[in-house]
Amino acid sequence: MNQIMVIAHSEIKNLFRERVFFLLSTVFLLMTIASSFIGWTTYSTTNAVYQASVTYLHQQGVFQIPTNPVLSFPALASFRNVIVYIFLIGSLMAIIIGNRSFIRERKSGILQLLFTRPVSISSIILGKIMGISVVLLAVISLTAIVSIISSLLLPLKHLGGVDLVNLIIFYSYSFCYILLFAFLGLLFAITAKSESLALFVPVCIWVGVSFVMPELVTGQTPTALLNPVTMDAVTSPGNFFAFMQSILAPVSIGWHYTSIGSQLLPATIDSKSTIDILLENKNSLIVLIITLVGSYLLMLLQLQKYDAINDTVNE
Amino acid sequence: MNNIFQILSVTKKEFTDALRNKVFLTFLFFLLGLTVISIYVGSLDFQGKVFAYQTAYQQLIHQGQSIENLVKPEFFPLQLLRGSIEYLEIIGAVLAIALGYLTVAKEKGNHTLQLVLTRPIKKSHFFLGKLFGNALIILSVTAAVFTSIVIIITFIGGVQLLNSEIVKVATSLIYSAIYLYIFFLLSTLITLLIRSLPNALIISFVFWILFVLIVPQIGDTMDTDNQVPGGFFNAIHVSNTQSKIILQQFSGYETARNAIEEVSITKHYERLVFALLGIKNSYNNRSVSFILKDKLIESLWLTSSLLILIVTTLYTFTKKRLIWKE
Repeated sequence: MNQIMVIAHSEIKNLFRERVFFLLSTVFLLMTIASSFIGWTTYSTTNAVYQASVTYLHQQGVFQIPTNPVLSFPALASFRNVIVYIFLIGSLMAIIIGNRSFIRERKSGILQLLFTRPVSISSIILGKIMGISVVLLAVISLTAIVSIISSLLLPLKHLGGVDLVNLIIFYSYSFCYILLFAFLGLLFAITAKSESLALFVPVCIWVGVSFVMPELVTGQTPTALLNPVTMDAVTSPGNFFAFMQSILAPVSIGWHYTSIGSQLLPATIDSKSTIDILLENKNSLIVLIITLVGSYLLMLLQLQKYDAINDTVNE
Repeated sequence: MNNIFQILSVTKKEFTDALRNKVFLTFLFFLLGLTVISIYVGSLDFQGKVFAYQTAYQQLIHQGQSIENLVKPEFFPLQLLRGSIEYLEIIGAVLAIALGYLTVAKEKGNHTLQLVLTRPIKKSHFFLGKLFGNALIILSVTAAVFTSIVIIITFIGGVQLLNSEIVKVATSLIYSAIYLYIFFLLSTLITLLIRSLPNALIISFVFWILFVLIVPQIGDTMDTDNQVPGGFFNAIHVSNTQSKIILQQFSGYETARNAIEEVSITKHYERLVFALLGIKNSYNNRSVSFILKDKLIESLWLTSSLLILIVTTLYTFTKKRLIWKE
């Protein structure tokens, strides 16, 4: 246990020394703040547009006007942009953190040195995972706090008790989701022969998970999931999509993330209860946990095969 | 004559190096595979809409109801390219970043640059050779993508493209190559300027995620009509013409929203190519010259960004001497 803690501690210290980590975390935090501001500006402008539309239609002699659809938005709707930012920046940041963690030690020879000590492979990996998890948890918690504070400061609808529970569940799920990408970064940092390949391959997989699989499952265009309004759009009709859904839907982790995220942070007032959402999506959550455990086992396997004597990392 | 020979030798080497590079080939096949998938998915999506229309039509006829409000789905073959264009925007840009990074990283990593410059070759000629070589690679990649699209639509889809449509595809190909080359130059410049190669790659990715995915998303999110599925104005029974009159009162907000979108080169590329391919319905059946005239601003953004980046990258490589300190 002590060995794991030492490795985790060293991992945290090393990550906080990396300028790139600060750059990515800053971008992530700034986008979270910006998302609240964007949400507020858009919400108030849309309300004003509604009022202007009512005045215009009255002038045109039209008096039967539907109620303002934006007014029925629940408080959590203004957080929906965060789903997109975690989906994009959070995942990329996690890949890079995972990648840097092993590549740095392979290049400096620390990993080879660790193999001369009586430290088990599982301790090395668990220590690294623990260190990375602490850092990612800190970043996610900070973005959650920033989002909540900015929603309190801006004149938006205020959050209720149930909203806070949904937010906590959403951020916990987001943490597990980006942790998976950190695992991916770690895995390829152990196996890849070159530094660039160790980064490009997980990015390629991330693009596949985030854009290709959702397109095959829903028939929507690749960027449709990036729009908080259309992210829970219906699947295209037809046998092909029904077939793809039966095959790919269980493993389409990116699609699950935006789908569960948009249910937890709903855009309409007639949304499901938190318990119902969790029960309905229990399979998706189980798949995520299985993938995390599977990635951990793969890392163990790869590190067992690691050739500490002949290891070289090309650019 | 000797100068041209030197530049062409470097160009040829860049081209053959790329064909041997696993990262480049991985991305190339990935992109080509996605092009095929997206066209297939697009055609199936259209088939689904046709089936839904036919079912609704039969039901309404059977019930003796009016079919006046039923909108018949219209088939425009070039609209099937939407997914492929989006993949070019996303994956194509990553591929271009990979090329830009590798073109500098291989020289820095292998310390071959110092060796090359012991030969009687000017730095500018060496770098021009690299720029030409990569321009050729990017042009080949976009040509491969668009050729596969035309082959799939013609031979598998059984749709004979009109000459005007082929011209539109060819024009889109050229602008796609320009778009990708901008990302290549951006990545080359970053890799030249930043001492650490991995950091250079990561920073290129940060630029990519911001300009390709985040900024266009912000612009879409701020669109008042995008606030409700099916459209805000549609929900309150306001027509398109009426919405334009109402939005005139919010010109400040619309200008700010547009300004955010203008920051992203991807948005300019998308606006231009979506217009050319008729993905934006209002440009369907319009001539290429009309579209290019109407989208002149987007075209100018793309070409001026390209020129600025070429000059800056060439200047950085030849004058700044940062690469020699490695």
